[in-house]
Amino acid sequence: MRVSQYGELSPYGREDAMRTLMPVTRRHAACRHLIVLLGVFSTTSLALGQTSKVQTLSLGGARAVLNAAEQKAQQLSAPSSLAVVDACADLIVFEQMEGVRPIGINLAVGKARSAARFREATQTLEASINGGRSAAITDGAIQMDGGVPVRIGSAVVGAVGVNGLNHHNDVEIAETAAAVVPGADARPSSAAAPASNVASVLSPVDANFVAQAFLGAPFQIDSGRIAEEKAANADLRDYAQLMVVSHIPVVDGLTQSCSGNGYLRLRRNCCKAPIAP
Amino acid sequence: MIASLKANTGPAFDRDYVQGQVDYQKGNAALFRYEIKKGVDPDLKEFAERTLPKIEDHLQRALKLAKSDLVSGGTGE
Repeated sequence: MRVSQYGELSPYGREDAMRTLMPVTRRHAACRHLIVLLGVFSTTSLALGQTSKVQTLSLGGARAVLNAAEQKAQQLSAPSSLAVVDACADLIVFEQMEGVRPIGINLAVGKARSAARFREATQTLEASINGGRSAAITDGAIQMDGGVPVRIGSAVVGAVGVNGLNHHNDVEIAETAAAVVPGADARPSSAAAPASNVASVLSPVDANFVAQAFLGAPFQIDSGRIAEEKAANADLRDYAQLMVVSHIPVVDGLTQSCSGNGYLRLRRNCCKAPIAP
Repeated sequence: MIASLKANTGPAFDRDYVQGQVDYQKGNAALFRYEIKKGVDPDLKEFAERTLPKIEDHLQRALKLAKSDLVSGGTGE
């Protein structure tokens, strides 16, 4: 038996993926051992100060999530690869439905792992990359739609990854499955949290949107000014001019003094300015 | 991107700029659509809904330019 200390999933096809089931299961067990050890040492103040509890999906919980995913996939007639990982992002259960593409095995597990490790739905990650955050791909993690954390309160206790033929279905299946654990909330924790300040009011999707939505404006002005001068095509010069004039108010809006609390409030208030990205 | 735009001239510049614009507008439209669909904050969603048509208009303009012979064909490579 091959045992990978870190429980990494091999990226090479079905046989390797199935072989890694054992090591990652062991890793999952190690994750739970941490909790057991905590119990042993919790009588000492030393252990209390130097360890922390990890709440994670059990095998039964993982199977419930997987079953819910399979049921939803059948309902949508969307055969998919389905993976459920624990709070440590290690694989607990996996299923390959009939008719899926082999690459889905890696992608489903990768999506689940990313959702667990980023503590966010991969849909948010993909949207961030598509919105221009190219540097996010340097991590090497799979950040495609279809990975959703399983949350209980604010804690991520595991994640589900789905890969079929259609990423919209992937998301729907994963969200349905993640919500099946009693007490689970598939919504981002900050969206469910009480509003104590401006930053916590914004959900991860909103916060990402605010962070990304205005990044391109300075580029549009700079590149548009160059194109206004250099473009050979007259229509293109007109387009470039349109980009410059429609993005100047965006930048002006960002630099004007907005009332409110902090950076996000500034951005939010500026959203209400008459602007055209 | 800015550096390559500064370095390019003639038809190569036009193609570079247009392709960059198509990618940019597509990415931006996806970001705004996602906010409309998955966002929570009503102000942000309203802003996204109000602004998306403008982005889509810009995308259509960029796509039209990318398809035009003057930009994509031209002198050939």
